[in-house]
Amino acid sequence: MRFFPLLFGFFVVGMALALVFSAGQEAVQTVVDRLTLSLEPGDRPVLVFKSGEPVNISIFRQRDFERGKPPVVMLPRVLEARLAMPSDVKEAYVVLASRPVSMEVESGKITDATQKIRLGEDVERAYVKFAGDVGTYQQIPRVAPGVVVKGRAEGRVCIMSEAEFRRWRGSGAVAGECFSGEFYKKFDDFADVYLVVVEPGVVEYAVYATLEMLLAVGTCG
Amino acid sequence: MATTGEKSGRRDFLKTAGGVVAGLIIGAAVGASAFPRTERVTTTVTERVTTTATVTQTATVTQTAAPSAPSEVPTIKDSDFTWKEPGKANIVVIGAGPAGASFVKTLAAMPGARDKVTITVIERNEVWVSGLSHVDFVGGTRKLEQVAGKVKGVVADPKVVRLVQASVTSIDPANSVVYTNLGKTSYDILVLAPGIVLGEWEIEGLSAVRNHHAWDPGHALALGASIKRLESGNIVFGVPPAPYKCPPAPYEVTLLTADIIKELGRSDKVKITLIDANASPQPGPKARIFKEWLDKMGVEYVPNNKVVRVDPEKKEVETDKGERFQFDLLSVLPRNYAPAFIREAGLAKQFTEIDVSTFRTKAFDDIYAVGDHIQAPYTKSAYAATTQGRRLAEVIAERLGLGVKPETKVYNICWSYVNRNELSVIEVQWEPDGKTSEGYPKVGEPTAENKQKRHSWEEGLLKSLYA
Repeated sequence: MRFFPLLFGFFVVGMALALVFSAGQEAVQTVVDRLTLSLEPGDRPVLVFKSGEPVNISIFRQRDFERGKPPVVMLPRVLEARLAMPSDVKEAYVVLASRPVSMEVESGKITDATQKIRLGEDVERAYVKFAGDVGTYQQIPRVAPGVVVKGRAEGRVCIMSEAEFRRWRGSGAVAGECFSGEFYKKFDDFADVYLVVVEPGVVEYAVYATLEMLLAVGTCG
Repeated sequence: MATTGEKSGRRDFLKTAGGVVAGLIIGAAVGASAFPRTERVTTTVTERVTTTATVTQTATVTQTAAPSAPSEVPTIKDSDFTWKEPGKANIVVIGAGPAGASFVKTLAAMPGARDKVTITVIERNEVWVSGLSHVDFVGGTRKLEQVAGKVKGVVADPKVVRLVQASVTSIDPANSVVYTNLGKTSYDILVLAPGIVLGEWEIEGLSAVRNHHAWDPGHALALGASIKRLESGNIVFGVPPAPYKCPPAPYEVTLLTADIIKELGRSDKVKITLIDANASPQPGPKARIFKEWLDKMGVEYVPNNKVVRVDPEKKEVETDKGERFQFDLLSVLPRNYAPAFIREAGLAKQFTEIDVSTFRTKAFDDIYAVGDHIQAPYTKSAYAATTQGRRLAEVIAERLGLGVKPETKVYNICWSYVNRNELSVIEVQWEPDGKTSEGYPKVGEPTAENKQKRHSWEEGLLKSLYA
């Protein structure tokens, strides 16, 4: 599903990021609907979005964006989000929002996040709060053994395996583990999973990397 | 002729002895039921083995299954080839690759091993071809006969080790039995080291096309030959989500292919695409080097895309993002799994679940697992597998009371081709709790010198395990 192009003119604020990284831990807040994000190997910035109205956010590799390829992250109807963007290579991303949205970038390094996990601290990989319509879905990023999802649904959401998700898209058959109110799930394998809204309402969830995850996937392949 | 009194006394003695034996059997059976093997016991294995020998009648009967010469069919009685000797732990090892072989060699060489253990190694292949060199077969930098070892070489001491050439069909952890195409064997301790299998079933249509990869020597040779034959067209490589066996290998194979195509003067006629389910090349610390070389060699790199479907008619692959790529030559590595007999026994979903320090499976205290099929922070590679086997030998030796403490740390070093002459290097060491040791990983830029280091290490490995 594509929900672009944008209605408004683009603001390219790559310079803002240069300010962020030169300013150490200080974050620069700005309002954007397009941003070019350049990362060096080992970087792990966290992008923080806030919006009074639901906004669709997509993040493309710059090369893919120029070629009309799909995004690597696609989050519909977002009210608030924090997304860690770890990179092992030099890479440029294009962040697009369907309407101007408040955004700040918190700089960070992969090694620092890994060190926190080694010390037993859970590290947030993503937090998303969105206005869930029936049928709104998101792939939960980078699932692995030990990865934890904590959340809350005003309506009802289901966490579906890839097979269940495909069946749901084909026939509308709801399957998987479904939750209303607060929910928690710890994953025990690497299979892809999806969060699907089956009853409307605001949904928020956070994905955490844990020491258990680190001991299952390692730091070196 | 015995008197009545003598007969009565003998009867009483037999009754008493029978009662004791029956009591032992019933007691042991009740005990076994009350304390299932899923419980973590702190008693030594020697004690548990004694109990098993008392309870299990077959343990005595099958003592006749003495060690056979390496590679011979074992003595089989009642479809059973258990090798059980009184007072010794009967260890069965499935797989004689680097993990299994290093475990066997290390344990068998320990002082006192002859008095404490018998080791049955079950391996289906007679020859082990170094996995490290599969990449070389694609690039033509190594020949198979240079890197093959005879598996019977793991039998350094026939009084301690025997080799059974057989295929495992299933395991029964509740009853401590392994089933093979040559019958069954019981065990006191089971070590799983069978390596991984490829989840080809996950990619729709893949079985209907020719798909050569570097995770099997025959496929690797065929892939190398196919690359050289391709005059023009598209070569598509596919990488599964990490973790998988030999993380750098897909990128090495792609770069070696690009190097060959360049040498053949076909770079303008052959397009190479690498579809990667991961966000960047693996392992992470080497990602920058691989990415720079992929760009330099003109490879189209497509990250964050997992191959999910192959259309044999259109000769096209489709990714989970809906992207489609045409191919004339396909080399997709499916996701890796522990073998079916492990998953069916409830020991693994994708990979075998273990305690990373002792390698004991989470489900059964008498089953251990080492090598590429385990769920652990350790790289899935020959080097890491070898050190795991060594550490496990120390863990089990301590458990058997051989006076050894586990001291080996799991360690890995990978030399990875960026072209046929230069290789980068990465070193990692892990602490017993699975965390990476301070100062690791260490990464080195590509050099020609690393090629010789890689080959020397491989030759040393073959000699130490199979000579």
